[in-house]
Amino acid sequence: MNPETLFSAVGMAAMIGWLALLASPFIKTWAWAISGAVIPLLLSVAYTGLIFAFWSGAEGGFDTLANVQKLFEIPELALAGWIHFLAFDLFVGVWVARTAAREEIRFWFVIPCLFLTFMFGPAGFLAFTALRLAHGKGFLP
Amino acid sequence: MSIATSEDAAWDSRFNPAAIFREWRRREPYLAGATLVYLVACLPVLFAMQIDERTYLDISVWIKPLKFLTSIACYFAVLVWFAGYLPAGTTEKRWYRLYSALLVACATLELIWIIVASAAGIGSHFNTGTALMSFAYTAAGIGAVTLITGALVYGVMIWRNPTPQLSPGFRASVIAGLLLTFPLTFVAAGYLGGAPSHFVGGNASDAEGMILTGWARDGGDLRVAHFFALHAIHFLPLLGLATIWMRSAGRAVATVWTGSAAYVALTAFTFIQALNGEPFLAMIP
Repeated sequence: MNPETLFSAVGMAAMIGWLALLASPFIKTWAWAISGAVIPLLLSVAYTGLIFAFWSGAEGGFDTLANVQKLFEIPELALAGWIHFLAFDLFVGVWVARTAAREEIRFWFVIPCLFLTFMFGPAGFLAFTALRLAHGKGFLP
Repeated sequence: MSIATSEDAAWDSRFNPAAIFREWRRREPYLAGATLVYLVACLPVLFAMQIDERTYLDISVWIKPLKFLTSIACYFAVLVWFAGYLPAGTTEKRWYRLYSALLVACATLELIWIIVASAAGIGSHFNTGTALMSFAYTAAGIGAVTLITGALVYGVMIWRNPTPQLSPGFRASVIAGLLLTFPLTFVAAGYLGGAPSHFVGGNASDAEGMILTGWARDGGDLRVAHFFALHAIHFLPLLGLATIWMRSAGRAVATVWTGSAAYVALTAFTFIQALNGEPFLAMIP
């Protein structure tokens, strides 16, 4: 399987997860099962498989920025890094939606946080933490 | 007569997979948990096999981890079921818990070694290229022997436990399977471990191997006897299950004993065949 095909496939999978999450006020159980478990787990299988297959061929490492960049020179490992973003961003998105539901924060406020999480991961987490503080909920997850 | 233990409704009522699964997990939580972890680990390995073009002995580097994960999962899965035939309270005892955790540790370390070696594209068994890999191979040997003592310990304990809930034929087959697994595997795998490779003659490539098992078709393959030795724990109880419907208990037990003797002969035959450099079933594609 070439990396480009896989890239399209995982992008599609993540998109399905995010759409399900947007629909979560209407289909709570299903949406959380799909976007909180099924899709992140599929992405995790793909990620782990890529690491199994391509990690040992890489020259870089986690110790310096230059070495991290070296890792990403291998297309399959850059793809693995991308899948890491997709899987964890979606997972955090589900955590945001579930926490908001439990703490009775209105979904309209949550949508921008989800959008930020989708686009820029940690920025969405930051926005949602601010939203929770504004609702007097503290900041611990 | 039922093959289930008295407290188990799974087999007595209608076939209910969820109930069987719950009962299975209840019998031996450690080995059951490990079985599930190994099955989950098969998923990324299967995925890696699709995207990784590296080979070892001319086949995908991921075939071996997949074989070991499924094989050890099958080994633990059946021990979990047989844990229901141990004397009442055994699995709650402190020594048993420690022993069970030791089995899981041995299996898990062995699997990690095999997966890491495959990820690195190098051999695991027979790899004595570096001091580290040589040490790992020796340690894995000790771990593997420890792992198969599980069958022996279960076999002895179930043999000494009356288990009146089991039909005599099935009971005999469980005991035979457990008690034969250890010595047969000890000999077959022990010899294999001391040999330089699993091949005896032939062109020492896995590419032309038998379908599914990958066993050599152009020479001897010591893995055949290891397979039958280890999986006595599965094949003999299956034979025992087939005798449940026999009316005469004596005949059922006799069938199991005869079948067990034939099974030992088959294992010995495949071992001698490999030693002589002959393929197991050359005609199978």
